[in-house]
Amino acid sequence: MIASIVEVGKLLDVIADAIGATVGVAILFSLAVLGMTRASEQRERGSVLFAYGLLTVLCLLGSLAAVAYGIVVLARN
Amino acid sequence: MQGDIVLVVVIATAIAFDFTNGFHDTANVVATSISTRALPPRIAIGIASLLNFAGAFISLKVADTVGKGFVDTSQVTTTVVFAGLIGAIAWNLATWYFGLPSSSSHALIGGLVGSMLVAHGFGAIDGEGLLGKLIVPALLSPILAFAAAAIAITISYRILGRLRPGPVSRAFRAGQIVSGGLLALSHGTNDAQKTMGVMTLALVAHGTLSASNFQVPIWVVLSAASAIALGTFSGGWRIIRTMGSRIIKMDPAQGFAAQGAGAAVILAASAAGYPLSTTHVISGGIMGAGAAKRLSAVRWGVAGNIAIAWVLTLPAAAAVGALAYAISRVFGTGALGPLVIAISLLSVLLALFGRRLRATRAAAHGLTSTP
Repeated sequence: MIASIVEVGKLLDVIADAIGATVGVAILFSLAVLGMTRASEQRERGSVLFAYGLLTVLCLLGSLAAVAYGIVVLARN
Repeated sequence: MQGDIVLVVVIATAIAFDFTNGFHDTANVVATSISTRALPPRIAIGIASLLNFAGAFISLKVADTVGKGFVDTSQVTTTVVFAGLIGAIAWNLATWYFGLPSSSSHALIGGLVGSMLVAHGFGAIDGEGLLGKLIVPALLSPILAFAAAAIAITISYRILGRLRPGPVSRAFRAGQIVSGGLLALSHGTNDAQKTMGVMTLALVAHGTLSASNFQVPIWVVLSAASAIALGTFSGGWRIIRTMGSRIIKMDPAQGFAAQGAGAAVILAASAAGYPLSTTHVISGGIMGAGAAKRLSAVRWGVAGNIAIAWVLTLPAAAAVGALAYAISRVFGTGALGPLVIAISLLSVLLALFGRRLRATRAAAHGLTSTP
């Protein structure tokens, strides 16, 4: 009976969206922090590794894009 | 004429409720940023106010659910809406006074259901709507925020495990400006819409709008957005203390995960039209971020008090809403009842603020006169 009252599909969408967005942005931002910290350590040692800088920029842009996408999807609803 | 006066009183009360909602929920939005020192309190509250205002314009799905999802719209009167609002405001003030972060949203719906029960009986309540659109999402949302925050912080710690803590903390503090901003935006989106829904319901009850064309007018959106933003700006320092440091001591990465989880859950639910409690959600996020690191990091006693306030909110607000409706009917069906109750509530409010002001001044005097 409860299954017919509760909108199961809609709730599952909310669960998937919320966990997907939180974990996705957390991974991207953590990778950006990893890249930034490693790049800074490399600079202190006098060497520069391009890959860490690229990782930082891409992951930061990715996390900002994910946030912007979430807001646009909500506004369009 | 009498109906117009009641409508004006209801709209003013709804705006006052929205203000108390922002005031009460400031803690939910900014406590994490303040406790991890990502932002100074005044700046955190200023940003949160602006984003609460902006968030109110993003979507109207929750307003639709609040206006049509729980009670029979055709039986609602402006006095019922008024009594429901009084129930919610009274509960909000009581929990604010005792420093408990309970849910303004559930207080609002509880108050409305209570006054509707007394006015028209069980037949006027949409039990299925209440269960499917409020109670189940309300139970699920803090668990979801807990799980999302716990998974996110576990993965983050895995990625960042061997890095120096200083630069990592600085980076996550910067990240918290975005995650905290997003949480404020999501709060404005979900919470301001509840008042919009109630104000629109009052307009339908008054006959200004038709029940078949339930559309939120733009002036309602603008006034709800302004009231919640002003309320947020005024802040609720007692609750900030409970939310920010008494549940758990957090590092900036945990704060980022808690705020991110809270914002994601509220935005996803807003898109589906569920009126969630931001208090429940962010508390779940904070506990999830803490428990993932160490179960004992969470002060479960404080968390338990918050849980008791959650459980009590719906029935307590419903009882006050029912009482307010019954008292209002003692004065007849006109405007006198709502006016008497509104003036009485205002007097209680002024007395409470006066007492708080005197206590604050006495404490400040005690501090300055200590040798």
